[in-house]
Amino acid sequence: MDFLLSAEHDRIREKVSQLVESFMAVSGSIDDFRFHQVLLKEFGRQGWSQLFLPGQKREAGYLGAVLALEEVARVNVLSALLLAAHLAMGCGAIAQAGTEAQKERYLVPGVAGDKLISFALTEPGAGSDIDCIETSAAWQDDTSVLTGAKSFVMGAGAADTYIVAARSEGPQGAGISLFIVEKDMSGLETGRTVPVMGFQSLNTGELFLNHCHMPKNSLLGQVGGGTGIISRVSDNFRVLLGAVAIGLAEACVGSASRYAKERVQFGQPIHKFQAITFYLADMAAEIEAARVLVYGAASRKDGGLSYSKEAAMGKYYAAEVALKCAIKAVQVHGARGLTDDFPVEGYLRAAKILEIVGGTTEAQKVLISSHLSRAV
Amino acid sequence: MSYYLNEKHEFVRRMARQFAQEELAPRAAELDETGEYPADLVQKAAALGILGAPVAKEYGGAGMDYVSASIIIEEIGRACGSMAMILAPHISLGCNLLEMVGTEEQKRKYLVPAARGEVLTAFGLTEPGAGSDSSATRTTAVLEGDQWVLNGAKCFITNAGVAGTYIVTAKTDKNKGARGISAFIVEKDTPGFSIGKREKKMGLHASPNGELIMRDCRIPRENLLGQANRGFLLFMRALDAGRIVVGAMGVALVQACLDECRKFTRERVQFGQPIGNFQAISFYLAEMATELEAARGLVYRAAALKDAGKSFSHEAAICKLYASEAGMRAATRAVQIHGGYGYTRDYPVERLMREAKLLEIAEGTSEIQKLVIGAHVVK
Repeated sequence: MDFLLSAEHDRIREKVSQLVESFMAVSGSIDDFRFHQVLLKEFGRQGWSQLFLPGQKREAGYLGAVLALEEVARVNVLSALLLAAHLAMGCGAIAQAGTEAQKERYLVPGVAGDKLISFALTEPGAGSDIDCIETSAAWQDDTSVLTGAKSFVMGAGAADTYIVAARSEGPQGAGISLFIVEKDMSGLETGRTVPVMGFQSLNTGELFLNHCHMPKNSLLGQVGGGTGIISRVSDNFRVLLGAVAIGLAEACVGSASRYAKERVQFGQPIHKFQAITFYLADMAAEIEAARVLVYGAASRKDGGLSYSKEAAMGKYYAAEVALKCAIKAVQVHGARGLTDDFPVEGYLRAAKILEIVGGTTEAQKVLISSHLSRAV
Repeated sequence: MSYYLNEKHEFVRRMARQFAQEELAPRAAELDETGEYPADLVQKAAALGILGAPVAKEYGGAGMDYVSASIIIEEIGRACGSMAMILAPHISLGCNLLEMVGTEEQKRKYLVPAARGEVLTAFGLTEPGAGSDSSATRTTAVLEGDQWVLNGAKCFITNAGVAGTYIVTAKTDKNKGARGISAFIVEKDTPGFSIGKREKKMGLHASPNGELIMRDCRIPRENLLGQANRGFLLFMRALDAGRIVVGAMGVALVQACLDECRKFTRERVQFGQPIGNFQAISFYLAEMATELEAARGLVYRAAALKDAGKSFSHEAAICKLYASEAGMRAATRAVQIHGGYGYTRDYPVERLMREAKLLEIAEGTSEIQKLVIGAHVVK
């Protein structure tokens, strides 16, 4: 049935939710990167990561992956963002463009959750505009030598494998190419972990490539083929970021409604005041709006239709909804919402990055309007 | 399973779009200007089976699902808001109420001609003192022998004067509020039943709207629709369906605004280039297109839930709230994008902005939707 979820989808939601809830109860501090790695492993061990990649479990489709990630994010948005990046960008790029040997070596352990693959794209001078990438790949006989600096790399220093975007010139090929760099590659260094507003435990940091001599089999896809791969995996990443945002927004409305039922002022629970009820209603309505956009994008992907525009719509819209919901959730909690007695202050800090990571809201709108000016 | 439309629905859309673009779009500005009820266009829609789109075939309908009905209203509204406003309550309230709880005789007598488009229906619920609070209904119905005697007045009734069959609500137990209301079928020529003044409205001018007056209006006993004193729950259910099609009208409005703005921003040159090249303007279009997709998905999902026989009250309220507000936002943006031209009747966006406002009010205001949604959230 169109526009409705299947029994299999309901099962995914329930099982993933159980997994994350039980995991949260027993496994150490969420402020430690190790926590996310262990969850990633468990997620892979139970087979959920396969939902995100071509091959098995196609029955549930990418929509199944979206639902699974939404459930993770509702309980634990920090791990959800790492899962999205690892599965859509890291594993996704190798699934898309890797040789059989590369898939065997990196994708299999990646999907199993044994190895974390981090995508190193952004540079100090190349944010939304990836044409400005300066990290260079110079050809030396059969190898290429990577030199440059990457910023905002998730899991910097903790990941097992990095996919590095670099610019090459010369007769052997020009353009942006991708390289698979293993963590113990000589010349690879990690810089400081950047102090950030939220998601501190994802170890977002710098990566330096000092004359890394890359063997021939480390090239991912064609020389100069990086831009195309990045664009395709970014579409998937955006769909998943939409799911992360929806999960976070759900967490916000959940906290706000729980608190509004408990908190008594002027002789009644505050949810009985229209001002508060209407906040909850606005949140719920906007979350559903974000949902149909994100589910729609995933569903189009499953149906073999174009979904780049829809992914951009879902990503920017859901991120805005998450931030709005987080602000309102803090407001409903009053001064207590600013303390760490309640999770909402953390939600608010986390929400902001969703308007930036995976392409800013503005970059999404540029993409959407370019689609609008194309079709008649 | 998919979150986009299947071939069957795309076929319905093509059919509705062709009719709307060929027959309705060329008349939209003129109908707004004159305010004349487009009887000929309603006839043409009837010939295509649109007036009974979701009614079962055995009762003269086309037997379509509610997703299809929403698509039809959307395509019609995209071309002409007044036409959508004439048809939406006929389908979602009039026909829907008759089909939901009508007796076999009532269905034969009233639903069949309504679904075939021979007789238009209207639903009389609102009163001067009973707007959002329909439990405050003051119209009364008293059983005298084999007849119900109705007294009272209804206001803001869509299709008043052009409908042949009216479903009106009245108090049948004065001692009870919402649980003392019943619904009745009243034919237009019934003695004691008359049409009061027609409202002069901000927009949707060709959609007649006015008062119903009942003075010792006697109708047969068997014209009670559904059970006595159970009218409130009945029309709440009908309004849920009504909200889906008003949502579809909101989608239509956003789409119409986007259509106009895409044309205008390509043609209009300022500072040496089409204004669509400026990020400020292109971002407005991107936002409008995004909200359009969201509103559309919400409407189809609510309709799909109804079709699947699942509860859809919460989802209908969400789609109505969201789509109507998206419509209003899109319309004010569309006028802004057109600049001074947008304020004139030389461009359709002026009309669209006047039409948008009603959608935030009809079939339950935005505030009523939020009460419904809010109650669901804290449940």
